[in-house]
Amino acid sequence: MEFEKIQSKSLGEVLYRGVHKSGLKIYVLQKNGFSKSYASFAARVGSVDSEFTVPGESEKTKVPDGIAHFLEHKLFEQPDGSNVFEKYSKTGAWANAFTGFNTTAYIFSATGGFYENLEILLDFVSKPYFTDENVAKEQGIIGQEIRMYDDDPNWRVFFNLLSAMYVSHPVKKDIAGTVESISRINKDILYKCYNTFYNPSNMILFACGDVDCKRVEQLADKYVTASPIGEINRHYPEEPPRINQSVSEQRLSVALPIFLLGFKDSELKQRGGDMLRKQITTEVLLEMLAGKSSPLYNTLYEKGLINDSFELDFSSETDYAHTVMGGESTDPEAARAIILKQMREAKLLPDDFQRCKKVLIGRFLRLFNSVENVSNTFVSNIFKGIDIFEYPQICEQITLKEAQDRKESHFTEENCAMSVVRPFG
Amino acid sequence: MSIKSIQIKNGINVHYIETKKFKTTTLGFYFRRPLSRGEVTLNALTANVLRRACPLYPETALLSKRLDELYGARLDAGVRKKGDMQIIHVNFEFANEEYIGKSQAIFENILLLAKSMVTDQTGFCANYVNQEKDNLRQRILALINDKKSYAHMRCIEIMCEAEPYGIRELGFVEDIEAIDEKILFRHYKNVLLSSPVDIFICGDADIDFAVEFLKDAFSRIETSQTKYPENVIVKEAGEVKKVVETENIAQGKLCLGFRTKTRATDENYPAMVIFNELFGGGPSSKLFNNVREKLSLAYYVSSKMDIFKGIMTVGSGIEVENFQKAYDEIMLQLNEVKKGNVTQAELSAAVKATVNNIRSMSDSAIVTEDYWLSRLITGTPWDFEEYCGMLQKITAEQVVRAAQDVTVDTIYFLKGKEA
Repeated sequence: MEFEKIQSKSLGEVLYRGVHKSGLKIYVLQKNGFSKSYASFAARVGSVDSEFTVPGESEKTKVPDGIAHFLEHKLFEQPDGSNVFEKYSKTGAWANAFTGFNTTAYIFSATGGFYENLEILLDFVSKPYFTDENVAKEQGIIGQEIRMYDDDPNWRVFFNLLSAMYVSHPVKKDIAGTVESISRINKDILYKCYNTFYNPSNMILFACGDVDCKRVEQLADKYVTASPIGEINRHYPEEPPRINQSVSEQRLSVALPIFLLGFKDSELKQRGGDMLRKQITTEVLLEMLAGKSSPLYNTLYEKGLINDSFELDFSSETDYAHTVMGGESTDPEAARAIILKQMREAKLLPDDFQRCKKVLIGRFLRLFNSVENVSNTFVSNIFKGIDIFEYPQICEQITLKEAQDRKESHFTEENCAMSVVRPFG
Repeated sequence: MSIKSIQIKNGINVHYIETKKFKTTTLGFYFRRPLSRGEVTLNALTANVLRRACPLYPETALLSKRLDELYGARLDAGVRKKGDMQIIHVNFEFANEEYIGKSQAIFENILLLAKSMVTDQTGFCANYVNQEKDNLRQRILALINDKKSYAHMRCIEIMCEAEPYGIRELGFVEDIEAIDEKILFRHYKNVLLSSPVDIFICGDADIDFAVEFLKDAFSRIETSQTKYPENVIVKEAGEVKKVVETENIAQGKLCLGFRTKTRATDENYPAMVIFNELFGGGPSSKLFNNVREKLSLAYYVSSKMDIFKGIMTVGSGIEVENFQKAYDEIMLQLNEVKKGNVTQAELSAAVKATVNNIRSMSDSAIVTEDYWLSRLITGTPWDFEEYCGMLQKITAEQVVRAAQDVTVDTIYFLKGKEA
């Protein structure tokens, strides 16, 4: 296979990318001077993939909520009854996996023996082993994971917000599913999901560190074989632009209320550079409107309506996107009223625009300080067709007019839902 | 990654960790204070008020704009508990000029800002102090939100009731009210005059310039050296304390506190570190493989060591009715190690995982700073490789011998209200 070398002179970073004969996309971000090297073997499947058509079948397949996450846990199981951690324990690598809305990634970081660890990674992800017994055992463990999140106010307030924003899109569902939904998972459904989504053409291998791409290719030759299955048809229910409900409330054991405001995005269906442009436009706008130097942030802080826990985030996929902001507040309704009013009335000034762009550039640079963060960011963006090396350049190009237009269309009261977790009365 | 320490004054040292691998540079100030009821709340509040403003940027919004201009430089201030000591820290992280154009004098501007904020404060604004009093009150009350860390904190409070370590580093709600801007500013002056200070710089910086600058910044401060008592290491666990508390929650949180009776300077300290990893450190540990994988009782179960106090804690989230089962299994696994049931594979896994964790620390500036701060405080100034070398020599016999010193002191369980 041919590797294309992409250099970012300003960042001082070099990335190699190519497509393996199996269809697997391989990326190597060469980083010297770090003790760790890192690899992520990721499949484009997550909690939103609850309904799809298996290539070659005519019937739609509907799977229990939480299946992608369950599958992630179960891949660690080995045919001899051991788990993969035993293999990694011989190398000392730190290994883990995570399931998101759209991605499942198997990762390790190691301060030595990169290729030995890469073999373990490629081997186990390519060899599923599910039995009735090991599925039953996992239901107990994941049941406790779900119970743990049930008590986590920050997790709950976020998922309640998603439920308030979305009418039917599966992004509103908990990633791990429910104790009830995972009780319906069995080994046959797991194999069906595995065979559909864990196909090299639906996966990425991303390596970061002092890594040689040719040796990565050789290991891919050994462990990853092509099994062309054709296009996976993913079915998402039609999602209306309107929010589902304006307020969601829950009571939990917390000291003071936690609130999140969500702005549902209706400018969708982009990929690649267009999507990145929307992302950066929204980020710079958020920084101007509600960043730490904004009048809004300082008003809320000085009135005691927010504290240090206040956060801003914009998250974007082809079929859904939203801005989320919030944190602890003594009076979420008052905070909401001020946020909506000041955002509506805010004038976007050129000086603030330039200053906030600098904040974004600094934040982007910081990403490259961590082999984990930079790799995970690359992986999720690659699935969206985005080349994040373009970030500084696009950031430079965005005009105040674009930010202004985005503000008018995205940050409206109609798009806004609120989720609150309150203390028990 | 080595460390170069330069004394700029009696009790004030600059530590330079030189590396080109990061795109940013860090500058951190760490003031060592004794952890005590008398000043814990004042220290926590001081950190929060310091970062609100300084003579150069007397309003928070102006200060935030300045940080934005410096390519989103980060400012963080707070307190950290290190054994029986409380650290007040002020940290900056900012872009290396290399990546944004050499003409940008970021480092110099950060030093000017840091000087204004850390050594040149002339008084605290009453409004800011009042706002931060409210915030601190909220933060202390909000400790209940994260049940896992709350259970750990309660276990330590109960276990170390008679030691400074039992004090929460954020302080006490009931001590906040009496503080005003004058009292707090007086306290800040006292902190400046009487605390040993460690200043860390990590990255690729003009260290000679920085040292000269910091010498000047601290030149007007006449420090009177204060010696702090060493960390107390309790050698006898005494009668086991058992406390069960109730909250409105779904999953029970168990936290066990153990005395290891081991100080970082003790000969068997490296063996105790390996024992902790083998017993409950990660996915190759006895706790993970038995409590989680074999018995399916928990999603998380792990142990961790506090190097200052010779304390180990085990935390796990379980169904309330499984309390006894989980407790028995944790104690059974401890006894297995005590009886000598440690395989070569388990030992090797524990050593390799620990070494990997330590070497990984060097890839984060803030983690590296914290590592060195702890090493300096405990009087064990080993660099990463020196420390790894000690751990790699540990034998199964040494681990088993270390386990004999481990005794349970406190059993804490946070459970849900019965329906």
